[in-house]
Amino acid sequence: MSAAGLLAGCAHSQAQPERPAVIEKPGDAARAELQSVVAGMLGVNDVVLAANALTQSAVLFVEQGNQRDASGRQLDGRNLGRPEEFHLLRSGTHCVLLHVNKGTRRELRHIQCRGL
Amino acid sequence: MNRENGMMFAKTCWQRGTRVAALVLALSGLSACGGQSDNQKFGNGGTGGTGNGDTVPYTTGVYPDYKSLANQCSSAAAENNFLRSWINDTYLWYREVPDLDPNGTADPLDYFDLLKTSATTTSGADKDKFHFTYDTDVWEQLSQSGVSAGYGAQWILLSAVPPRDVRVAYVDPATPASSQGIQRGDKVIAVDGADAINGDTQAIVDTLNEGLFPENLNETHEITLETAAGTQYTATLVSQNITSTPVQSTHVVNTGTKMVGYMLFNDHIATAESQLITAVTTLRDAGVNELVLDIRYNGGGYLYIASELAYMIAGPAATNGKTFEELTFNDKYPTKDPITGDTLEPVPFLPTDSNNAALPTLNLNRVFVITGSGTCSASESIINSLRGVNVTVVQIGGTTCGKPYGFYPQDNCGTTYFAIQFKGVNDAGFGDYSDGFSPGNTTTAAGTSIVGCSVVDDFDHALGDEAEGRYAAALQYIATGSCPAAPPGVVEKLRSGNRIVDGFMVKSPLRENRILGGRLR
Repeated sequence: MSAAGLLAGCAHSQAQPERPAVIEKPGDAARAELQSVVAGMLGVNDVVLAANALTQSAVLFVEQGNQRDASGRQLDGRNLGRPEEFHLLRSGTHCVLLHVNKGTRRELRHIQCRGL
Repeated sequence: MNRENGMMFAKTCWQRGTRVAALVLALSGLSACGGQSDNQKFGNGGTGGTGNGDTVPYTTGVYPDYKSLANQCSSAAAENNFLRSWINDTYLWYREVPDLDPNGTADPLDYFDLLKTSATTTSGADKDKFHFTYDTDVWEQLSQSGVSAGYGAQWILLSAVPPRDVRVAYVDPATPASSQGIQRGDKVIAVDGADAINGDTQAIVDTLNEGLFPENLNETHEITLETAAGTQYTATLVSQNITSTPVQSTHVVNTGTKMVGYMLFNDHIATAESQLITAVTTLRDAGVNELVLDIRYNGGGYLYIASELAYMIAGPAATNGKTFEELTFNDKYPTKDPITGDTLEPVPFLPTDSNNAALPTLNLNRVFVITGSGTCSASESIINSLRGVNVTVVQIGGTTCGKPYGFYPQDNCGTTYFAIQFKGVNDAGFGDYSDGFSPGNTTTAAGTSIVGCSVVDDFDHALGDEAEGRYAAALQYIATGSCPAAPPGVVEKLRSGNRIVDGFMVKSPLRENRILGGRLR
């Protein structure tokens, strides 16, 4: 999406009442877009998402370093940080992903969603 | 490399100036680097050379600012130099680390392994059991909370060497494993035709690891299991991105005199917060006056989740103004966090969730915790923090792992280093439980003894089943004030010879071998 398109989308979205939403009819294209947008908002090349991400809940948490030691314990078992949190919002006729930690938003152009 | 439990995982070596990561087999002791990485030379003059290029200036006892040495990746010596200064600045026990010439070791991972205390605890165990590295690109992989490749069956290794005993600890709902009817306690007999109990060739070990711990999606493996009743069946499992459920089971038992709440809590991941709130609300609304918190397989994670749960258990009266955990760094940083630069403030018992909504509370002055060697880090913080505000913690099960420590993972030149930097202490100032917490009637454990009952893990019953050994012991203690008479079992050490008394959990698709050979060790 172009910068102009993004700005236009956000300006339009913010003028509409918003409510939490979930993805409808998730297919390969929707999953690919969600994965791309989430990765882009986090500034990484890739992120692992479940096939049903944001289809049953409007909230998506993303964590770093979910690695385990040889005993299956979290490597960082006393983690002082917080996860990355995303909310899917229905804004008018648009689906918008909000990155709560940074307050940034991106419109999802190819995903259908319904408000909860 | 992670050398806990004597295993080595990823090995990095220098080859023509390039670091090459390769898996090594713990059982064979072979590495992709031959003997090169173990060729260590030490000295005080800085002239030993690492065999891979430049040397760096070195003066005994003088440590340049580690930040100025970061990400200088042209030679092993340069990377070692960073590690030497970083450890000296931030490692909790930096005074117990030898000053080693950074020019004397050819592999930074080997050099890092030496930069730790060699002291032992009162039990004779290593004082520092948590000193390891990970490839940065793997460590930094991001994933949806609780999502990883697998089947949804959590294996536990009661014996990783022949005759092996690999069991199902629990199964996440709505996963390939649950749909195939796999249940807790089922014993792995074979994987893709390979004998899981006695198979002892390298090929069999590889087959077992590849089948039980798939690294990729859509891998199909046939796993033959045996139920507690002795029935064998074969499950055809296809690996998927599995979403784990950290709070699986919550219910209430009315004993006639008590309303006992039970909660199975397996992981301090982000999705646990809402599930814990739902569970505690259910228990509160049911009017529970005793709680059995099952954290036997909970290895920790986010500390804020632990603080919220401790608050929900104890309630505001017991925790108001009290410290959940205070972090203490080495004596160079008595007032500031060495990594963030923030002024050190005690971590409070958090009365609200991530959305600043008030948390439900049970307001209990006693809690039963079901534990084992898999109970670690943030889970141990729950135990310690509650004890610090005079909530009685009754421990049922086995000795916990003993990790009152934490760290900020540090990246340098493609490797992420984990070295202990802080210790957590409770409101009473206690944090010395590096040998774990042990139930009071444990006969040989070296851990910090607290009231409770030593009970072996019972794989013949589901978690949350009132007949399950540890849960039954908790219920008995609630009813009678005493531990089961027989057989309580003695659950103390993670290992006894090659037999792992309390088992160890393997939760996610790690990139290393866990099943071991016997003769090949």
